[in-house]
Amino acid sequence: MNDRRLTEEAATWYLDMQDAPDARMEAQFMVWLRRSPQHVAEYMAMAQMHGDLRAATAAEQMSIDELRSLAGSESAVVALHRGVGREHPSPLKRLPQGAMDAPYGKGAMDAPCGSRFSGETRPRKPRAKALTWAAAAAAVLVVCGALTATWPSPAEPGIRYAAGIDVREVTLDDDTVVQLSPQSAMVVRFDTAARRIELVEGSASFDIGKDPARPMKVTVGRQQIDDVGTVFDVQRSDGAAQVTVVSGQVSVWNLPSPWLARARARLTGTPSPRDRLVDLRGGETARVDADGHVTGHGQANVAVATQWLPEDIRFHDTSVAEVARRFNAYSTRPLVVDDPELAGKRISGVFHARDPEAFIAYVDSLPHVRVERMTDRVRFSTTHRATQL
Amino acid sequence: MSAETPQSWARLLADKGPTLANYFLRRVSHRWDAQDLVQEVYLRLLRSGDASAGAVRNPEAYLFTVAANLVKEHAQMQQRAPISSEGLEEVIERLATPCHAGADVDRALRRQRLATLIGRLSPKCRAVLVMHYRDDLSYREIGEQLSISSNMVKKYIVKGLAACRQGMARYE
Repeated sequence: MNDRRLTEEAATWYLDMQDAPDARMEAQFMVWLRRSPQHVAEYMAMAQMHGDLRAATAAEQMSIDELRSLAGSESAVVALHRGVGREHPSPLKRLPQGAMDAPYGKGAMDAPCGSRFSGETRPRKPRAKALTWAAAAAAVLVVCGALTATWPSPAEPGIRYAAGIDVREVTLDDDTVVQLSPQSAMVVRFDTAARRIELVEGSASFDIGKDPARPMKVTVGRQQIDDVGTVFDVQRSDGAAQVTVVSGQVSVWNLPSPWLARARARLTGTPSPRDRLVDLRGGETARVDADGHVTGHGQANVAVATQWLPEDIRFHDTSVAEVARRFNAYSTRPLVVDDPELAGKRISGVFHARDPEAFIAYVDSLPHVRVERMTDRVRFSTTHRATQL
Repeated sequence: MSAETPQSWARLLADKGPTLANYFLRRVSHRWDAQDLVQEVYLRLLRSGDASAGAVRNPEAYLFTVAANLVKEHAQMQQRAPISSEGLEEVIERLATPCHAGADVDRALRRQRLATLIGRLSPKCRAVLVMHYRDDLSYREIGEQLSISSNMVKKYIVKGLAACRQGMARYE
């Protein structure tokens, strides 16, 4: 499980053994070696790496002075390229194929009833439940009103964001990060009581900022997705919504108006219109029709669902926590920074978005940083108060 | 099992250890899986007198001696280019010689990848690694260059070694 720690142990032993160890240390080393074949393998790997590093660093062009100023500018340089000799991706190439000709949302307004999605973050279950009920009331009201009026009300202006031929990333004032796929648009309406985003066209990935006082409601046609620190992706087309949960949890509810519920019970024999339709966890996807039917529920191919997202993550003088979060739009295993000092450390650079390992390795190369790979997340913490981060 | 580790061997192994380890861990066209070799080395380490682990002087040289002996036995078993008597140096020389054309390409590729990985390290970590491995500076000298303690220098090297090791493991 904790490969990294073992590797660091082996590296430490390797350096100790090159350094005229005393008899006691040698004895401890032997004990360590005998503990597991893994230790033997890792130690030999270190010896190999030691040799390889001599050869690999020989190619380094920078002089000692240059290296020193590089180290002095610690936060300024993280130049990354995946693979060797691959050309740098140009912004125009980021446009995924087919993004232009995909037919995006028409006729969503014909939807006969609403479905509701509500997400729940695990750490604050009780509150999430309370929100669910509050939002349920709101959703019913909204659906009834929708029979006569267009909704959301055009009287509320809001701010419209639209993406051109490239993916557009918008960070809202509540720290919510939305990535709009090419040719997509959303309208944002925030006030002191609620945060609302309407996805009017196309696809978007939402990473919802936390603000317990103002629940977040994302609407897609007649369907509503409620707040909550999850990361999910919604694609709107022809009144249906494809919801892919990248991390966290989302519950999809069916909440038609009472009139429609009765009509539907007669027609389809569905007894309880308030049934929870489906629970989605990180890595799952479901397609919900305009009439609230779940037509596809299964494992998501997150890479496909998010294929329109940019191939790289570029940032300048940005905190480690923010950069980690940017990766979380892509991966079902979110990166969590658990140390405030590390979280606030500012860095600049370019990473390949689909290769979080490079970023993990980078953070891991900072002193005192500990990386734990858990099944549902990757956690960064520090081993003790880091004074030289 | 040769429990004796003459000083000359120890010195030789300190230099050749990486080559030997390289042989062990590469998966290129060797009949024995590296896993098997490691497992066998481990078993021999365990068998080598459980009384007190402290009995072995210079355990690193011992480890590599066990490994080299194993390689030698293996080579003899294979009956190809049998190795004369006790020539450990010969074993190692042989190991250092690429046995097929692909080895050069493979090695060049590994180095390139490693250089890429080094480029991804944090600037301090990278500077420390290069100064240590390319310029052969001591911890203290590196610490003076970068205004950090020798202890921190060592930590950076550990971090760098581990990052490179794990980065390379993903390629294999």
